[in-house]
Amino acid sequence: MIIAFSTSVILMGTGCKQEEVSEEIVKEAEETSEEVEQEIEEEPEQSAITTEPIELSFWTLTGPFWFEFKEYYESINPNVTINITAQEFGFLWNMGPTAFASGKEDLDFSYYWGGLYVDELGKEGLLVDLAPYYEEYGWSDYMYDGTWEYKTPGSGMFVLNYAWVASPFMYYNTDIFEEVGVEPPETFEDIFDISEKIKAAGYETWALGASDAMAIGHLYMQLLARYADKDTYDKYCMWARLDPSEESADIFKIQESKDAFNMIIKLVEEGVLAKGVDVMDDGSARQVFTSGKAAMYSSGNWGTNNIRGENPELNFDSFPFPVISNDTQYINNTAISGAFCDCLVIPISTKENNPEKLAVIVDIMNTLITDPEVSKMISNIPNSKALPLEELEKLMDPITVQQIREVEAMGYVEAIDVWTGPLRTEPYRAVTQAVVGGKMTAEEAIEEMYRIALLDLEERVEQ
Amino acid sequence: MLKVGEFIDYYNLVGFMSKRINRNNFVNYITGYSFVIPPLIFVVLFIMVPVFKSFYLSFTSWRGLGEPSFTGLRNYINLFTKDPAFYIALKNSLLFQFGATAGTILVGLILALLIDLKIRFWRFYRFVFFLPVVLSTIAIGFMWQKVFDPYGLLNTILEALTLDRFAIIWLGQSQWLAMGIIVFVTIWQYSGFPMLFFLAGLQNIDPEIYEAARIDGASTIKRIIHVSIPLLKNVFSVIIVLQLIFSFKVFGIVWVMTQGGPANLTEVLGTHLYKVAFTGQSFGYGSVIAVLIFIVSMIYAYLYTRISGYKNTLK
Repeated sequence: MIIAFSTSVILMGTGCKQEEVSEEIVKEAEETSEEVEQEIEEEPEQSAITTEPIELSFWTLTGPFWFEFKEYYESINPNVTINITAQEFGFLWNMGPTAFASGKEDLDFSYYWGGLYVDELGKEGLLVDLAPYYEEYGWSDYMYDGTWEYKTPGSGMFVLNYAWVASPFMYYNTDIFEEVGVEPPETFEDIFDISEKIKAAGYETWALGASDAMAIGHLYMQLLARYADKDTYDKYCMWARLDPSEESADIFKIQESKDAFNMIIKLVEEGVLAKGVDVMDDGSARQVFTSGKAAMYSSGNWGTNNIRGENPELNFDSFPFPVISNDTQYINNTAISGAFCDCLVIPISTKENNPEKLAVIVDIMNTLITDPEVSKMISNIPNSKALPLEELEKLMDPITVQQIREVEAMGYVEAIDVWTGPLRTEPYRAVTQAVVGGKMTAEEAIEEMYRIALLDLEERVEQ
Repeated sequence: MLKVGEFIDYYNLVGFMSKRINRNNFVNYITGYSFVIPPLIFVVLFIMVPVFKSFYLSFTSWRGLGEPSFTGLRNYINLFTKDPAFYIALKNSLLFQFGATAGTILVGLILALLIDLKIRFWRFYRFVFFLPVVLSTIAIGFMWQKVFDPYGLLNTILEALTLDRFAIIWLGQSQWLAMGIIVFVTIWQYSGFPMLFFLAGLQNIDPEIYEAARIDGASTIKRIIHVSIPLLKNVFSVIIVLQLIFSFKVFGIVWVMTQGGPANLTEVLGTHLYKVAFTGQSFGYGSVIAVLIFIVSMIYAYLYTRISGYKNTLK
């Protein structure tokens, strides 16, 4: 009886509650319905880019930008769905070309880097030539002139570079500099001077990760850019792209290259580069800097976000990579270079198998370049003048703003482009590592670079 | 090598081809082959086909785009005459192979002998010592790399103890030291594997033999040296060959800890292959290294089949 009574009470209570809930639900539904109707009335006109639902598969690196862009673009184009696969840096760099070439991956367009591999892919006819779209949509009017450094020599334009980076910059710990009583160096000679004081205070001077192709490659190529004139530098950097031959491979044995290696050796021998430089990667080196053990760390403008993310409390600033000296002998003693980095490519299989997707992808590219709202989202520096720089700077980290101004002051936003240089590939990287590790002299290094270039040439000739 | 007669007897070919196959034999054969064929298909599709493809590619130049172009023996000649990194990698691979094999077997044997003494919590120790074997090599390599980092745990402890002069560049100072550390990590991770083999072997030894030795006055150490180890001869043979096979193909632990650097200091054949093929986009040249690794592995596999005594099954 007790059970029956309890049950009946519970049922009665539930029934009452259900009535209350039901009224609440109805009321809520009515309010929701009104809101939805209001939203439908306010909904912007749908894009005409496609009337049919389309799904696009997109590979990119990790990071928030493309997810923000996806949300934005899909809100304007509700029939479009961008399925993003975030790839690890090394995987995309190494496997991307194979994926584009096979045409069998679920891949409609992809993030990639302009230069070496894109040239080969483009010449093989494996990427869509975007030059007609640059012309049709007038993208060049929105983009910096250096964009065209990524055009494949003697061929088409296979990338859309939507954001650029500036490199190199030296980040420095302002607290350490103040404690030691030094100022940011203007020349490399100054670095050696302040290094003595920094080390005496118990800190490492310059954190650099030479096991990382990017970091040590940047250092070597920027030193080379300072010793060599522009024509010589371009021939060195673009050897594989322009005219690879046994004769032109002599570029690897130039005196300027030897000078660059000797400078690296001097930086190591005099203890300017931090302990363990040849075994650390860029991430470890940055941690040495953000943990307050090193006074300086070299990177590009992307380093600002990385440093802030690792240690928001760190007091730091940046200065342009120093010149070699004030000696006018070095006519190309450039402190800043711009390198266009973030690009998009479209595998030819998309155009051949899904032409309706190609139109949407081109529209995405157009949005990237011409829509000022997108410029606000890009974490690097947008390769677009859609949003005036004065407006863009209000959204950027003050250090990045300062860096852009420094690039402008040097008047140099063309690409001395380390991303296309030979230092991106493994055999050459081992040479710079050997030099950093004290296992190769400068003379041996340039001979080894030449030998590797000849082996590389054999492979290219066969292909 | 089997003689022809032994070959026919071993595979029962006469029986199979006999016209006097009765119903029972036929059912047996169908049953037997139905178990064998699926893994055989797997081996053919996922092992033999890629192996033959690698052989083919080793005679070509191919960057992963377009069609491979035939180059004859050029890749092999370049590997042996123009690639100093190959000899560094080969030397390191052999160093690693023998160091890791000897180390894991020795440590595995010691652990097995200790556990076989049935000390307190011996089951727990068996579990703990075997646990690293099943953990991810990537995670273990990453962890130890941070320990030996120039600014990592080990150097931080040494500096805290004012032993700064010992806070060296562990993974970059010298080839022997760097490879030694990688071998140490491998021994740390994989000693549990031979430990299990030895434990099984020890537990198969008749206790009366130990009893007899004890009665004759043999100490524990002497019983281990004169009874246990000799009776584990077959286990030694098998585990040595298995360890040689596994260690020659090393890649993961080296790649995570050093990537074969700095400047090829810790390069092994696996990392050299990866860099040449996937970073350098020379798949033809990389295939030569893959072929070499395959040939050496096949030699070890043949040794294994000899040692595991398949020939005795004929008798």
